[in-house]
Amino acid sequence: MSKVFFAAFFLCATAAVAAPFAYVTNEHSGTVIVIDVATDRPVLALHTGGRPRGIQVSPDGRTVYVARSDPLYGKQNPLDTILAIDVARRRVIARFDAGSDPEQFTISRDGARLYVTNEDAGTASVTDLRKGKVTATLIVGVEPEGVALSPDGRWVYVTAETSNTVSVIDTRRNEVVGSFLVDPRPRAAAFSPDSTRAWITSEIGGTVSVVDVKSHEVIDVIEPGPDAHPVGITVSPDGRRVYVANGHGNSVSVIDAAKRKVLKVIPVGSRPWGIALTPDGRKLYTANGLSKNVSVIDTSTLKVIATIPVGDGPWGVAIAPGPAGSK
Amino acid sequence: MRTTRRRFLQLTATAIATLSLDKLWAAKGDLFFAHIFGGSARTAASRGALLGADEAARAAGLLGTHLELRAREVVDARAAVREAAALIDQGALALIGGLDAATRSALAELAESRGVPLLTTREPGDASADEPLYEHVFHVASTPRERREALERWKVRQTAAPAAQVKIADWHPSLERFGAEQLNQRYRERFGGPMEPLAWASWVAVKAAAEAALRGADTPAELSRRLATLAFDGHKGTRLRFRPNDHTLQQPLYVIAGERVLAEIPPEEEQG
Repeated sequence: MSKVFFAAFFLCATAAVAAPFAYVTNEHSGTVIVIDVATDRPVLALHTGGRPRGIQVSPDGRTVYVARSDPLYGKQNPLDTILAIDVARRRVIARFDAGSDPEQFTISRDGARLYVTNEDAGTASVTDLRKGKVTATLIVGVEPEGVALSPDGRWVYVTAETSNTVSVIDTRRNEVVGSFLVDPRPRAAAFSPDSTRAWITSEIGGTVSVVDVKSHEVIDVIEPGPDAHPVGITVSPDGRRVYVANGHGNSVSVIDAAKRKVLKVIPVGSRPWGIALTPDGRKLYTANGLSKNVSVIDTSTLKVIATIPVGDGPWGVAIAPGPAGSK
Repeated sequence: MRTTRRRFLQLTATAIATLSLDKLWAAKGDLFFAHIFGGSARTAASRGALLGADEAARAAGLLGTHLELRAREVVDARAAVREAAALIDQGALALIGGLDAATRSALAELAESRGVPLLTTREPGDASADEPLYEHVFHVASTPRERREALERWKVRQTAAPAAQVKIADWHPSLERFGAEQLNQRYRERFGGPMEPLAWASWVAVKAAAEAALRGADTPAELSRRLATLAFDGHKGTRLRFRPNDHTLQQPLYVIAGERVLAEIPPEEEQG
């Protein structure tokens, strides 16, 4: 931890804080930008160094975890780690081993374990946060990327870009218990709130696969838009809508989850990648990698209501409650 | 009349051979492709195919099946046909090879007569013309005509006179976008050198065949049908397909000057 180079500085030290906050990773500038979602203004920049990409909030909302790797693709080095940001103190408080080149991850329901994809090694690492070490390394597909936990806590899906596979990890055994194919270059996965359906984006396939979680089988394939290169994905808290970041399509598709039909395609910034909803589902945030900003969508009107400059290479976004005692 | 009868006999022989092969494959339960290679560029061809085979085997294992590449180094077209025929007899689901025009032509005749898909590559500098259309033959390397046309399209867009030493390539070891960096790195780590265009072509030939096989093409005939419509990822940022009119891979090409990639030329159909 002492070796971790980070510095915090307030962009707007006197701004009133209010819950929740959006945390955005910038893979090129090596920062995490904190945005007050009440005002849609950045209030803080945390310097992480390296290449921060995947970002998630702990189930208790107290910690934001960031996957940081070496900017130069290669073998594991000290920059490859998961950083833990304390939401209350707004500083990095710990770092965890997560294998080489960590890109995306998910957190177990009890907040005790991370499931992390190691892109260059073709593995998924299970990091025990209490022990502070990797306790299992699982063989998954070639060039793994997306990782998602079913809300019931039972399954972790790991997508792999080159092999076009989704590996299914049973969290009770911490073992890969099956795999299935989806369309080319699967990037991310998201589950419905009732854990019965999963949605998998395929960037080169230009599709979203709908998966029956009970059988781990693809039951439908949706094309979210004519120029879509689907990457990030999230499901609304009520399970009625699925939001897809279309990458080089420069848009977000809104899908009716029950009818599996595209409701609207919303133009946003350039190459939206990570995508996240506020806990009430009213606002959607997209990290736009090439335009260096974040688009904010009002989910009732399905219109962009703000565009926030954040830095170089916005990649992931997660939304966490504000610090205890914040106004 | 004689022509018609000969054609009938050819079709009958192909059908019998295909049926026999399908039974053989079904009995074996394993998948394997035959890689026939040789000549001055054999190292790159072999390495690219090996990486493709490793990755395909990983995917196959996850999906509960077994997939492997059986490689044969040969000295000429006659040896290529002999080795390929033997591997077809053993149940090869697809052939990969045909680096030079003579071998490519001989293997294409064999593939067509036996109803087994052949995915061809080309040696660097192979200036032979476009290939005739065969039902079972697919070409992953760009043709000289495609490269000339790509260069012309690029030159039209230039405001200044382009450097004299500019060439068009299917791949370059310095490519980074669309997962190219990761693929180049995997190759470099495995073999200790850069992934040259022929290595990429061999890799993508195996990848295409494996993808068709793992998506349910469980006989050579079905694999050919699947390849004809397959859309797959070759780390070039767009869906790759074999053109229906010549079974040549429709793919972005790159303008290279020295060791630098100057531009990407999308397939002609995608020009805006």
